Amino acid sequence: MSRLRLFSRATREAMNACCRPRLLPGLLLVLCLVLSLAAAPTAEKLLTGGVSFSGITLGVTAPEGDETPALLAEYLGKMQDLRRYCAIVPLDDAQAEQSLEDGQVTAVLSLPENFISAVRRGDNPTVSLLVRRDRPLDALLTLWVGQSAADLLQTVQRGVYQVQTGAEAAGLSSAAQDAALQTINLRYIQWVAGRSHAFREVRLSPVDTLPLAQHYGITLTAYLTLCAALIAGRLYDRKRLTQLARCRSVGQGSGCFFWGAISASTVFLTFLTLPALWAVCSSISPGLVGLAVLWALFCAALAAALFLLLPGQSAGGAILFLLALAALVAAGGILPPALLPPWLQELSFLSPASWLQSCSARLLGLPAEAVNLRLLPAVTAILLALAAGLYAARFGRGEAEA
Amino acid sequence: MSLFFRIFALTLRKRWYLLLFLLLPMLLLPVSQKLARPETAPVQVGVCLPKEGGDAFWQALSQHSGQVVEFIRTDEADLRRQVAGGRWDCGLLLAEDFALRLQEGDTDRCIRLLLGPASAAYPLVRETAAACLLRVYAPNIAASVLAELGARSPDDWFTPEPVDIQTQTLSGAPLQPLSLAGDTARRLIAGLVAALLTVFSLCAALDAGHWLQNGAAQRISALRSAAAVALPRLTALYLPAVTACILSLWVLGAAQFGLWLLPYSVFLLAVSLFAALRPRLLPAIPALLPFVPVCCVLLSPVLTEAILPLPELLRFLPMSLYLAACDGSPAAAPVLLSAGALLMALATLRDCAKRP
Repeated sequence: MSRLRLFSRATREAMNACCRPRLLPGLLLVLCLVLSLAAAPTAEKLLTGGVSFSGITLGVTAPEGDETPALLAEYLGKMQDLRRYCAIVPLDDAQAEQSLEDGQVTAVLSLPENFISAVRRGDNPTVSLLVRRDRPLDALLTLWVGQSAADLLQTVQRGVYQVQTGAEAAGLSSAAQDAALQTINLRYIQWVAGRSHAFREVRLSPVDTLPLAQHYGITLTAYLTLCAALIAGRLYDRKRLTQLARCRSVGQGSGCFFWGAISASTVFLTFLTLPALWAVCSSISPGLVGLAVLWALFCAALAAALFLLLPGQSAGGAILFLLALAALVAAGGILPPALLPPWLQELSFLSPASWLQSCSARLLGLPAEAVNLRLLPAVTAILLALAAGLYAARFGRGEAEA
Repeated sequence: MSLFFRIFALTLRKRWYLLLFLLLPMLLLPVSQKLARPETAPVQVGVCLPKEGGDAFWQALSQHSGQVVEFIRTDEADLRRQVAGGRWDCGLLLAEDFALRLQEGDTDRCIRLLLGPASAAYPLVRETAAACLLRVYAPNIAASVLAELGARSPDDWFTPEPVDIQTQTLSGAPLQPLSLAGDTARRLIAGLVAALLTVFSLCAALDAGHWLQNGAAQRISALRSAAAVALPRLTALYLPAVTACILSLWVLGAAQFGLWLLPYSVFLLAVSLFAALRPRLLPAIPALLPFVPVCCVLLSPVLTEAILPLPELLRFLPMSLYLAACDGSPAAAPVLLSAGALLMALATLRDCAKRP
């Protein structure tokens, strides 16, 4: 029998061994696909804490004849940054309660008589906020907004008052005092209107380079396919090796069987990896196919090395599962990398799942760790060499037993 | 009946299961402790001050901590970690030369507002921080205006108290207390225990399946059905496991969910029996084992509501039914029991049909 024919037979036979029971590959494929897709929205929802805030509508009332609510609505309504989270509606007392009950406003701010002049005098006038009893969060958020706005207003008014006092104490002419008041008002208004310039927004990501959804999807794909490599353990069973070793008596070496087993498990694992990666990355390219094959080859080589190195199927399976779990944790597949302890963040480059993340990031045109890009093919080659050596040794031992 | 008790007693003699009683609470205790955080405000904001200066700003800011927002002083690394991880809504990072810049009248970008995936209330935080910044900076503006006019700043520079806003409800009754998903931790514990029991059910099926193939079991199976031989073994395996799970729930403060573990266990027992009686299924079990906890956690509402496009379908998963029973759904437990009974009947009938 030629080597090629023996190799193709060995591959086919190994593939049959992997696909028992018949429904298993299909079931694993569905699980890989569904779970990889489910990981992303779950992680997003958990990390955002399900929080959303769409802003509040604040009704403002004052005693009859007081124009402050209308002035507030006019001036504050022009401020774009304020409009993003708070709309101000001037109301009279009768309208206020009805609007609150109907849910048209989140709360009603009731200003006392001569509010502005009281603030200007340096008093601390009490304002009241009318809220709905059954909406405590809305009420507390409005109170928070109101408190900040009132503080801002009070600080400005007191500052103006202090300048007025200082100018009077310095004995300035009334024209100079008016000029001073105009200047201070203008400076405060300028600062308040442009207060957002005091802040620089910086967006932080809980994960490294990949978008959140892809980070979790790819990491879980790595874990699931590493676990699925457990099936390849069947190909390195002692009984099976003993049977195969009989072929040596008819002049065949171990190479065809080893590479047959590796090819079959690589095809099987590519069958699981490629659709999951495709679904998570939402695109397919020759690079992605190559990556799926390389990853499957890595998983197959790791499984071969472990099952040939360790005595018994259970030990190999348990170690492979623990390795997959460790890879998942270290690559930020459970807690996001930002929340991992620093020592684990340092070690994350050792996780095979991080290698898959980096390679996928490169394919998606995102920055990737150069070390991780080289580690995947390098470790695969080392594992293949190790597994081939171990297989040859076990094959020889199997022949002796046969 | 004597055969049942004989096999049951023989299986129970194995003491390894005692480990379950110790291991299960030990596995779950860290999760429970991590989740049992003290009562905090719904919005948490981290604040990192420079080494020098910024105390007045912090004093003004901390006065705004209350029922809805809590400002937490911390260092930069922790601030970035907590905000990026979504634990805090956002963070305020003051420039190192914050005090100097205020003196020089340069407030442009003097505070970095760190936003993470959980940032929702940050516009409100920015308003509060702006109010506090102005409170610190306003005297400088006033002093500069007075200096331009050749006047001296007054010695008793103002320190305004926060404006007093009184909250009243429409009906006059006090506000209802905030309820912020307080049961999440207990629900997660219940879900994790159920996931572990599901993994155990597959291990039990594997054990019973392999045991049925040994000599002693084969000889008994010749006289009785395989189901009659496997059931006592499985029951003996389940008894300590379910007890350990219920005890764990009790220890971790989720005892109210223990009762609903019983119908779920009956269903799992039926699944184990069904799998154990079909030797062709056994090789698939080790391969499926690592997938089971992920399926339980992601496809059932353990962490969050099911968010796949088929939430209605996922509601009928056994784990989802167990959690629904925990949530008080009256139909979930009977559905689990009926499904279990159906599976057991199927397994037994199939076994009887195979016997000559």
